[in-house]
Amino acid sequence: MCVLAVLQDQEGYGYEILERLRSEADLELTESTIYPLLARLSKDGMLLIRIAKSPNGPQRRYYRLTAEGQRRLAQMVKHWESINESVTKLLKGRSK
Amino acid sequence: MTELLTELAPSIQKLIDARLDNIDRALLSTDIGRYERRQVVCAVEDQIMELVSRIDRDEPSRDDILRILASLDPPEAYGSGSMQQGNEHKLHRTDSRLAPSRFANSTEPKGGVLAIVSVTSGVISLLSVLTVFVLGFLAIAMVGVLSMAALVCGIVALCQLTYTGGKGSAKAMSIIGIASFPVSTAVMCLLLLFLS
Repeated sequence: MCVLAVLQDQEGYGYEILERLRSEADLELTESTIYPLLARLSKDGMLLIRIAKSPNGPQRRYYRLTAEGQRRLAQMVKHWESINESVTKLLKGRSK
Repeated sequence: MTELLTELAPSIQKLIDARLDNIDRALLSTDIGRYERRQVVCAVEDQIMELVSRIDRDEPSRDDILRILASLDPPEAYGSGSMQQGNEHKLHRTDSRLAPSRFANSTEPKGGVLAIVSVTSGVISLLSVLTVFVLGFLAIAMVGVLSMAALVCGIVALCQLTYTGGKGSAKAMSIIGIASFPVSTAVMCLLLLFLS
């Protein structure tokens, strides 16, 4: 869900996605976690890959959400919000 | 291979290729397909090139490349054990107080094989007891029925042979049949006493 959320508004290349997850979400995910995930998501039709050269020279593999990916993200967010709400309610009830 | 990679010195290129090959081999031990494996290796290669391009030097040195490779996950991190433990194992907050060791030893439950041996042995022993029980009852029934048959047939035969003047060998067989009744009954009683 985090990976899909990072790509919700703009496409990104692998290393950039890692950096965004670290800087924006404070999550230290490593490439051995993210790259297989990106590969699976693209295989499942959630992501589209575009290969382009970077201004510095090396090629980059840009990932962006497909319509299916957007739908999946919306489902996952909904599910997450529901879980989060329930757990928060439970914890608040316990602390009283 | 990227364009930049072909421009690197052969010794440096070898280092990168070796790392990528090792990752590919590690991925082979997982259940992911060729397409995904290729995507992962290409993504790692892109990242290495990205990091190489950020070096403020015209030509990266061997030490630069080694430093970059050391900053990446080792190939084993892509292997089956690592992948099967789930990604959440490696997901943690950047706060070092909360962060577990990245490649901490797994605490897989042990004793599965012994449990299987235990349940198999237990079931076989129960079946054996059951078999002995059933066979024991059959044996007792057979002893009872056959010795009674031997006794009755032996007595009847002996009477008929006495009245009709039969052969001596037939009389001997009848006597053996009659004698088998108390012998087999006694042996069976002794056996039952011993077992109880």
